Amino acid sequence: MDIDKILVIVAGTLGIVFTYWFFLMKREKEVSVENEVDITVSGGYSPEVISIPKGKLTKINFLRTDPTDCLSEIVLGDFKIRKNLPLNQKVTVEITPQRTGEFPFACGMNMYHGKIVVR
Amino acid sequence: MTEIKKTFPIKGMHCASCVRILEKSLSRVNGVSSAVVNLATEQAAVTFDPNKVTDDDLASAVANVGYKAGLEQQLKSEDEQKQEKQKELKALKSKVLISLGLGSLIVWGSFPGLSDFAPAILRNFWIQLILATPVQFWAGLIFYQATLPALRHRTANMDTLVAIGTTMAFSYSAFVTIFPQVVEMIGVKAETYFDVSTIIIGLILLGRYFEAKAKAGTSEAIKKLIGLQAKTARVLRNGKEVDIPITQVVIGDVIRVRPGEKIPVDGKILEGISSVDESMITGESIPVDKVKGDIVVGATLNKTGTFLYKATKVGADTMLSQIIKLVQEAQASKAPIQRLVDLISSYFVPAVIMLAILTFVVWYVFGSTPAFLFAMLNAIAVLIIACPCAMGLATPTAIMVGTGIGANKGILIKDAESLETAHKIKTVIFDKTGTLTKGLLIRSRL
Repeated sequence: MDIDKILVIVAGTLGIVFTYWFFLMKREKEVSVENEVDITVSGGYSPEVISIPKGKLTKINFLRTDPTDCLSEIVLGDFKIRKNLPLNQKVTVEITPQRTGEFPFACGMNMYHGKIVVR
Repeated sequence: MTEIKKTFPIKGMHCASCVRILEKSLSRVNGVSSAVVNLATEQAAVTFDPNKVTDDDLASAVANVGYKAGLEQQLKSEDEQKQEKQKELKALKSKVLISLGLGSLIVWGSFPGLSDFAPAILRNFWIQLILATPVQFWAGLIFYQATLPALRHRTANMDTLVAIGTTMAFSYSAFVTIFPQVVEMIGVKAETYFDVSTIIIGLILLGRYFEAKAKAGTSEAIKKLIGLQAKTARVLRNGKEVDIPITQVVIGDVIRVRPGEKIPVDGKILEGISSVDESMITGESIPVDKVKGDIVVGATLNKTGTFLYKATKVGADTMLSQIIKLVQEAQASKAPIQRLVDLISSYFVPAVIMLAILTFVVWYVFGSTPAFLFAMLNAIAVLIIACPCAMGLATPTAIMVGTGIGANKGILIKDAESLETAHKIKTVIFDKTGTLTKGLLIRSRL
């Protein structure tokens, strides 16, 4: 086999491993929240994973600073909330979770993800 | 620079001089071009430049002279949002037209067969580079803008795939244009693929454009429900009857309703007798007689008499608002089947990138010559074809449209889960005839 083919195989394998590691093996930092939290929406959600107490009203303030159209909606399907996020304008969502568990939230196209952990 | 007009209620006005003071204070705010205050309706109409003036500025201008502005309910008016959307659509449209226009020129000059009939200037690689550059970095800027912040979060999306794919095609072609001898030295014919990058960007933007237009229609159902509401209410204020926008009716207001009018908000009759068509809420087509002390529901139709009633529920508390809220909640709810889609879509983009790399390797190692070109083009194809947005959008869009149409026909669906279990229904039980029949006389035979 030619040297260039071997090089491409090695580089390709490394590329696949790197892609897997980069996107799928990231550690999610969980932010513990009491009462209120600000989530910045820019290329994703930060913080991405929040934990909130069960049975207590929690305010989540979304502030979108990224013009990407994909992010212009926030969907918290488990809480029956779908809201538009106008650019640079705070949008508050109030939830009072009644059971524990993990509840994902996402953009309108389900491309960017975040998670609410109820404890 | 565009100016917008905003109308909001003012609390605490009681004399004609208040009007002057308020108007003066509001027009002194930098960026406000006109301010008109109406005492009878207790509201201010302000025209201003939204870049210079915020709601807080207006609220504090009102508060400074001792009144309170009811601005909180209408942070951003629908008109403003609509204007913004229109502007975005227009910008998108021009990007689509320009990219596809320049793209077709490049296709004409480079596509095998077609290029024989093209003027020599279009076949020049440098000209193609000049035509492709604005498409890549101006029209295609949004793909980079979406990709870079996403990468910082270690996530990837549809835009990432488009950005990687078109950048590969563009930079290879630019390299060929600038250093054709290098490519020819390794035995590959100097050929550019600017058509790939420009046409892909143009077509994907075209898809976005259609999608944005379609999205504007999904909230139609809600708008129709809101349209059922009366726009104004005839309220007794200071012994006079004045017509005010329904948003400014407060609990305790005494409202006059005349025959043929819609009842503005929920309340209790103080005086007068009438019959009211409540079919919108109950399905009962025969008008219901109403006397003093009876409850009336907003958005139902007053038929025969005139009456005065006291508003007991306004704004978000009225029955119609509750129905609208129910529909909105149903539209936002998640069908159980969607959980599977959620799971897949979070792995989708990284998986596509890995597949594209694999495609490149396999074509390079086992493909025919020129191996590098085939490998690159096929890897780009894998990146571009995989558009996961459709997958993410399908279920929620179906739910939104379904519940919306249902609401229009008087069927309220609680949430997506009910919709998903609905196929198991075997027996339906109705409570009364009004739900099923229209109760209207229709000529059947002559």
